[in-house]
Parts: sequence; C-alpha cells; structure tokens
Amino acid sequence: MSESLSRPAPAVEAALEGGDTSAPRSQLGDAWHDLRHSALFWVSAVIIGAVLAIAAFPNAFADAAKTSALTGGCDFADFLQSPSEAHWFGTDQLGCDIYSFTIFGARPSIAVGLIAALLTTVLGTVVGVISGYYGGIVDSLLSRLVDIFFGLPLLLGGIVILSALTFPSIWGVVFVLVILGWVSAARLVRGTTIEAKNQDFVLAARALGATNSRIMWRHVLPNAVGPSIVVAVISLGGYIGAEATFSYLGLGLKDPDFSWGTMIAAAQSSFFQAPWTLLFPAGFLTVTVLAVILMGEAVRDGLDPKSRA
Amino acid sequence: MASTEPSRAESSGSILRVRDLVKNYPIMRGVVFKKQVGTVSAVDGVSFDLAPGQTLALVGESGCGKSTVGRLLVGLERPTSGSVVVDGVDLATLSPKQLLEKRRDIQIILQDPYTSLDPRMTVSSIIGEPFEIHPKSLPQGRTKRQAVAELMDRVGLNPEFLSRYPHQFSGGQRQRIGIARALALRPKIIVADEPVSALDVSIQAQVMNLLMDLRDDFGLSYVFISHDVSVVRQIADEIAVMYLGRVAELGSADQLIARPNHPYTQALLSAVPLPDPIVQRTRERITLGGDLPSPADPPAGCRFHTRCFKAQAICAAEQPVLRPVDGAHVAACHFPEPMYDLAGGGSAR
Amino acid sequence: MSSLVAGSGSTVPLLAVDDLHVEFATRDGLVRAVNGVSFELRAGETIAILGESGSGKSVTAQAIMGILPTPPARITAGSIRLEGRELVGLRERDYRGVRGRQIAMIFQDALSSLNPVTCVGEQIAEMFRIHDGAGHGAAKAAAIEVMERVRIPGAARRYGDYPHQFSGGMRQRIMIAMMIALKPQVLIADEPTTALDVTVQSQIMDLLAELKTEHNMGLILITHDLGVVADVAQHITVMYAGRTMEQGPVDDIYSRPANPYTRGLLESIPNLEAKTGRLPAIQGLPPNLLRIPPGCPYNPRCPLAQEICTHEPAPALLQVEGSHHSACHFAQEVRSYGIHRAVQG
Ligand SMILES: Nc1ncnc2c1ncn2[C@@H]1O[C@H](COP(=O)(O)OP(=O)(O)O)[C@@H](O)[C@H]1O
Ligand code: SF4
Ligand code: SF4
Ligand SMILES: [Mg+2]
Repeated sequence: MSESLSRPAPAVEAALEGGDTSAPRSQLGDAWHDLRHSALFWVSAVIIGAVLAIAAFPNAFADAAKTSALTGGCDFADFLQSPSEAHWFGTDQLGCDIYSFTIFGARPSIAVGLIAALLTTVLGTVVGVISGYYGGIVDSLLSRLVDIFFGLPLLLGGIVILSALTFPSIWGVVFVLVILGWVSAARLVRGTTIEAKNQDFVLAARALGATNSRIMWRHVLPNAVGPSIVVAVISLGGYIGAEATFSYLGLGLKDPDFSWGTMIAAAQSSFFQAPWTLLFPAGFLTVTVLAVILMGEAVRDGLDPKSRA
Repeated sequence: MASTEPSRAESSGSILRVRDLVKNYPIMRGVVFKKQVGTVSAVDGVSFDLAPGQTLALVGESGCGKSTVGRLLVGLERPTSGSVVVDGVDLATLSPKQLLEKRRDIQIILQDPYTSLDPRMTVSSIIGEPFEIHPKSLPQGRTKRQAVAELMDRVGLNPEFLSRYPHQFSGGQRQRIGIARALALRPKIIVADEPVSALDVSIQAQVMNLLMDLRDDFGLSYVFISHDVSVVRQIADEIAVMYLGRVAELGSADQLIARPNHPYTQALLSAVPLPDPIVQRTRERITLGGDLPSPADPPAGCRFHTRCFKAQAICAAEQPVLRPVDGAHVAACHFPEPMYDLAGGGSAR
Repeated sequence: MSSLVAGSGSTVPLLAVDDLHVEFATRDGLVRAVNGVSFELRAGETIAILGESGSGKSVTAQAIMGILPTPPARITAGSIRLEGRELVGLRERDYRGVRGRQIAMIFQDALSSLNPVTCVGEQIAEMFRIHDGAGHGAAKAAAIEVMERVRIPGAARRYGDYPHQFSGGMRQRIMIAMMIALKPQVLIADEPTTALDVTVQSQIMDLLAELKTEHNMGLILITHDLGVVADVAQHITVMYAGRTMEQGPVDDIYSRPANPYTRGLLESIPNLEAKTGRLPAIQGLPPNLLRIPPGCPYNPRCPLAQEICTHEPAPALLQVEGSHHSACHFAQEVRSYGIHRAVQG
C-alpha cells in the first residue's frame, strides 16, 4: 500500500521549492496585526518603553551622586524649592533633587513588579496546568489550597505578613506579592487547561499515541497560557502599585533604599506646602500603572478571536 | 451475554473483531472525596467483525454510544469489559509500549474540523506529529517535510500551504488535514467518527469521494460512524444500527436498507429526508414519540420499548437478543418483521 | 435589477426583500456578503433559502430582523418591506416594535440562544411581560400554554427547568415557543434542525409547518440541506456568494433546475435508495467574499462555464417559466437537461 506514496509527485516537489507565497498567520501574528493599528497600544508601548529605559539605565537620565546626602546630592539649604532650572522637579524637605530621586526610584518599583509578575505567572501556570490536566485528587487538593489563598486580600495579607517579617526589603515585598498573587494565575490557567484538554485536538494526539507530557507541552500549555499572559501584564500594574503602597506604609523599602512608594510616603508631611514632592513620584507611578494596564487590555483584545471578523 | 455473538460463521478472516464490548461511566458527586452515585451505560454488549478492505457503519441518534465504541476501538477509552481484537491481537493483552505500536494500525478521524486541529500549530506540524511520535513510520528516504507534503497532495490539499494555520482553511479543507494526519502512520483500519457531518452537502460529497478513493488505494478498512443513513449508504458494506448502547440490527447495507426488520431501523429510515418533494409528500413516515431515554437509567427489557410502536408486555420484561432474520442479517427484536420501500424506492419511477 | 418573483397576486406581499446588498468592513477589506437578493413571502406561505455556508443566508435573515452588527455591517442598497412598510433605515426604537411582535427568528443553536441561568418558563413568560405588559400570573399561564402548543410533555411541571435539563429537540421547541409567543406574522428559522437527529428533525419540521398554518404566518426556512425542506416549502431561493442564483416553486426547482449550481447541489445529495459509488461533487470551494470572481460568481466551479460567464457581468435573474427564475446565461439549456440522480435517471 506504499505504492502511491513511493515517489514525490512533481507538484509536491515544486511546492516544497516554491513555498507558500501568501503569508501564513498564526494567532499571535493576527494579534500583532491588530495591535499595530491600535493607538492605545502604541501610546502605552511608548510610555512603558520610556519607563523601562529609565529603570534599566538611570545613569543616562540623571546623576546618581545627587541621590545621596553623602555624595553631596542634597543640600538642606535648598529644602522644598519649587521646580526650577537647577531642580526640574523641585526639592524635598531634605533639599534633595526630586528629579534624580524619581529617576533612580523607578528601578526598584519596576523590578518588584516585573519579578513578582514573572514568578506568579510561572508558579500559577505550573500549578494550574498540573491541577487542570490531571484532575482527580491532585486537582481537588490544589483547588482547595487555591481557594484558601484566594480568600486572602492582597493588601491586608501583605500588611500582616510584612509586619511579621524581620527583613523588610525589596525581596520581602516580592515574596508577599508572589505568595498572595499566584493563586489567581493558577485558577485562570486551571480553567483554560481544562478547556484545552477537552478539545478534540488533544483526543487526536492521544489517538496517535502521544504521551501525557507531550500533550501537556505541545498542545495544552500553548492553548492555555494566552489569557494568563494578559493577566500577568495587567497584574504587573497592580504589583507596581502594591509595592508603592507597602513602602508608603513603611513595610517595603527602608533607608537608604528608595522607590516611588517611599518618596510618596516622605511627601506626606510636605505636600500642602510643596505639592511637587508628591506630584512627580505619584504622577510617574500612576502613568506607568495605567500604561501597563492599558497594554494588558490592548493585548487581550488583540488575542481575542471573537473581537475580529 | 455471549448470546449477542453475531451468527456470522466466519470471523477468523477479520481485521477487527469486537466482542461484548461494555462501557460504563461512573456518575460522581462530591467536592474533595468523590463518591459514585450512579452509572451511565454508554455501550452495552456490542459485537461485530470487520473484514479487510470493508466498511462497517455504526448508525444511530446522538447519545446512542456510537462515538464511545469508536473511542474504545482506538484505545482512547478502556472498556469496562469485552474485547477488541485488531489483526488477531487482543488489545487488552498488550503492554503500554506494545499498545503504542499497535495504535499505528488503527487511527481515528474526528467529527469537528474546527476543534480537532490544534489552532497554534501549522499544518505541517499537525500532519507531521504522527512521525514525531512514531519516528520509525517515516517513509524511507523522506524528510518529515516531504512526507507531510506528499500526504497533503494525496488528500487534495495544496502542499504549498504547509506552513499555514488551521484557521486559514475552510471546514472541508480542515477535514482533509485530519484525514492526512490519520493516514500518516499507514493504518490498516480507520475509525471515522462523523467525518462529514459538519460539512455542507457539496463539500460532504468531495470528502466522501476522497475517503472512498483512499480505501481503495490503500486497502483500508473503515468503521464509519454517522447519524446520516444516506451518507452511510454510499460507503458501507455492512451497517449496524445502534440504540442506547446496543446493536438493534446488523446486516449488509443493501439488505438492511431494503428490508429493515427492527422497528427502530424502520423509524430511522422513514425519517430520512428525501430530496424529492413528490416522494417526500406522499411517503409513509413512522414518527417516534418522545425523546431518547437517559443512558443513566435505560429502560428494562428492550431498551426501545418506551418509544416502540410495536411494543408488547414481553418487551419491557425481556431483553431481545440479536437473532438472524435472513442469513447474516440479524435483529434484536421479539417481533422482527421486514418493511419495504422505506427509502422511497417504491415511488422513484 | 428588481426582480419581484414569487406569486402573481396583486395584493401587497407580507414581506418583500428587493435587491438587498450588505457589506462588512473588515480588517482585510470589504466583505460583500449579500449582493442583490430578492424574494417575496405571503401569509401562510413557506419559502426556503438554500445555499452553502457563507452564501449570505444568515446575513440576509439578520438584515430582515434588523440585528446586523453595525458597524461592521452596512446595508448598501435595496429594500425590505413588511406589509409595504420600509424596514431599511428604520430607527432602532421603531424596530423594537417589529422584532418579536411582527418578525421573529429561531437559531440553529438553541442552547446558546437561551439564557442558561434562567428557567425556561420564565424566559417565555418574559416575552409576555415585556411586550404585552402581562402580569406575573397571566404571563406564567400564557407561557405554559405556548409550551403545550409546541408539545413539551408536562409543560406545567417543566416550567421551572433550566435549558441544560432539556434535550436538543426539546430546547429547539422552547425556542420556538418563545418566538411564536407574540404571534408574529413572519417567522425566520435559521438552520433550525441542523444540530438535531433525523428523527427529531422531522418532528420539528412538522411542528413548524403546523404552527404556520395555525397562525397563518409566513415562514422562512434557511438551510443548506435540500432534503429537509423538500416537502415543507412552496418556494425556494437558492443563494450563492450573496446572490440569488435560482428561485421558483419547489417542484420545478427539484425536478427541472435551471441553474448549474442548483443542479450540482441536488446531485451531490447522497441517495438513500441506492449505492451510487462516487458522488458527483461540486468541485472547488465557495469564493472568498473579499474577492468574488468577475462575471458569474459560480464560473470557477461551474462545469458548463463558457467565456461569456467570465467576461460579461453576472447574469440577471430572469424568468424561465411562470414564477421560476434563474441567473444563468444558459438557464434554458440547463433546464431541459434535467438532473442526474443514479436511480431516477
Ligand atoms: N460580523 C461579521 N463581520 C464580517 N463578516 C461577516 C460578519 N458576519 C457575517 N460575515 C460574512 O458574511 C458572509 C455570509 O455569511 P452568512 O450569512 O452567515 O452565510 P450563511 O448563513 O449562508 O452560511 C460570510 O462570508 C461571513 O464571513
Ligand atoms: S422487542 Fe418489542 S419494544 Fe423492542 S423493538 Fe421489538 S417490538 Fe419494539
Ligand atoms: S452563467 Fe455560466 S458560470 Fe454561471 S452558472 Fe451559468 S453556465 Fe455556470
Ligand atoms: Mg448560517
């Protein structure tokens, strides 16, 4: 019965050489096609790009020396000056340059958000895929665990845990966000996994003799992670905000480290006289969080096949 | 239930032998610790034989267990009891590794061309996946890409579209992709589960023609599952009519359609719409009352007795077994009796 | 090209669709989904709209119901008249009085058209409360009555059941109950039995035919399956690439089609009476509506296509005989040729 397949037909050979002239488009390709025409996407992309650049290379935008009194960055005589040629964003109550602080405060804020979003997504995806794919008792136990964590509000839980921790630092904040945040990713991925594993294409792969791990990696995971990537982007915005909140409450970064959150906390006592002490760090924070969330929504719309014809 | 054995004398020459196949699904309740609260009897004692190069059709309404039989045949589900013998080897006796090898012999085509292809894979990875799972089955002297292109050409797809994604194809073309995938391992048997039901008539005909050509070219045997008797008629040598997990009637396609003996087969045939307004307006039709009973609580005795227009007291009490009505043509009814011309043949002239 | 067809009475038809054009503005360009469809429907009459998927049947139905998603959809030409009243361009507020009350529609997938979290009785009763201002008790009584009329066994008992507790056939009955609740003049059924088994299919078709007679409704059956409508419809409109290819009384269409496309469709139906071997399939695929081929849209697939079919504009829908019309340069020749079904030949 191998007769009819014994020699490549001329048409086949020609096709293999010629190749497909019209572009094949994956779903991601389609999403990109849509995103390219979305103003929302471009605006948020530019903002996020700028913030990432600042966080990655703060020295290109400001002078590190100006962020410490030890290196002569702050002059107490200049305290609470309004924005000027010398101090674009004004100075705070210690006479430090708010512009330099805002630039150098970006990195911890962004880093906490990025690391927390990455870890929650990875942890949540692993738990969600295993739980959803194997089902049964594994799933029952993991689902109960997820339910317990889901009942803990992020901020309240964070305050309780961070108050009990003896090492309040950037890592403490990351730890808390991951512990409290992975469950929503796990829930989501569990749901999409169950949906994906019940699709006929999984059945088809099993009929071919594919192993569980092959099915999980090749078929279920790629079809299940889409929504969790969107959620990861949106929650990144939330985590950046949460870091600021914890730092504001004195549970996050401690001197001499600083972030937008600690700057906002420090501005508490002065912002009536000198609103710029609050305005600049809070403005950067708000715009960044908003841009990230808008980006998440733009990506979600792009990935949603129902939103296109 | 050995009595359900078909009375067909010869079964040694068959490539597929199914005996007393039973599949029950437990109904579970509970949150952490699940407890069985009932049983769905999806397949209850199905037996048949399939000869090489032949096509056996399983026909019946949705929920009658035909797809479950299909899944049991290709090993996607384990039977509660009964045996599936492929080419002389009982699947139940195989180790997982041997079973994997045996899977190459029996492949499946699924109904829904939209969900049966992974949307994130290109056509070449979809059709090439069988070669990744069974590297030995790659034809000699071929790269995977060549083998895939040849398969595409064989099922009537332009091999230039190797790197396209499923959503860039129409329903009929996607079904061809599914056929190419099932063909890749050069199986001896293909279980086709409603392969054309989701397609338009015009496209249906194209795909049916392809399936017939492939059967002849590769000497394939088909188990063809469908609810559409007119489609089945074109491809099947034998037809088994199923009702609520059991075979109601089984015989050669010609006999079964010309002289159905089981009341359910008769009702089914008389409901098939015929594309001729004059015949359609005048033909006699048997209308079945009510709905299909739940397989979680099948009627006792003859499972069809709640809807049967010929039911007697004995039907609710005693399960009828498959008995010959005419040679190899068997029916499971206490009162079998042939009816003629249900297919509209009487007024076709 | 206004080709008013069905029937010859001088009275105003119940529903008249004339030269309807609908376009969708999509990312990839303009999808011309409907390109000149015309038909008429009279009270107590059943017409069928036939065609492959993507031929524009559902879009036509949505245009009549006034439920096209706009944007992207736009009616670019033509008219839809209900008892002489123009519906194209009607304000949404006024359309609400038409929908449900004068024109109702049932869909292929009853499960997804019913609300999964409200019991079916409530969903039917709501129609009476919203549209007729009926009180709670009266609405419930009326709902049970329609449920009985569509023959749902134990209607009163099943009032409080949810959609998932019903079988596919029963769910379609519930949809029908909802839609006939307000006694509409026109009922559109878009592939009402495609998802159902044959035994149930014939029950639903019989029910629709009965209700039509009972209420003297006009019924539009949309389907891709020529077999299903053979004995139910009086007139048939065959669509291809958003155009009417052929139109006429059901017996004429089935026995003497005057269009190669209709003939292809008829010939590709598998025959229950006999095994015919290879089926005479229509080659190729329906066109991409972004790039409808010039000339007759069927020409790339048509076994009879000549040069004129590509070079001349698409043929107009012209009379063949009586109310039988066809859009083909060779309509008369095709008609005299007849169809080839193995046994009947
Ligand atoms: N919302 C939409 N946006 C873009 N195109 C659409 C939309 N709805 C329908 N269409 C297009 O209109 C054409 C006709 O569709 P439809 O009327 O559903 O066909 P049928 O009912 O005959 O199968 C299809 O090609 C489809 O792509
Ligand atoms: S055994 Fe009785 S109920 Fe069953 S099919 Fe025969 S006559 Fe009908
Ligand atoms: S006009 Fe030409 S292409 Fe079109 S249907 Fe008639 S013969 Fe075929
Ligand atoms: Mg449609």
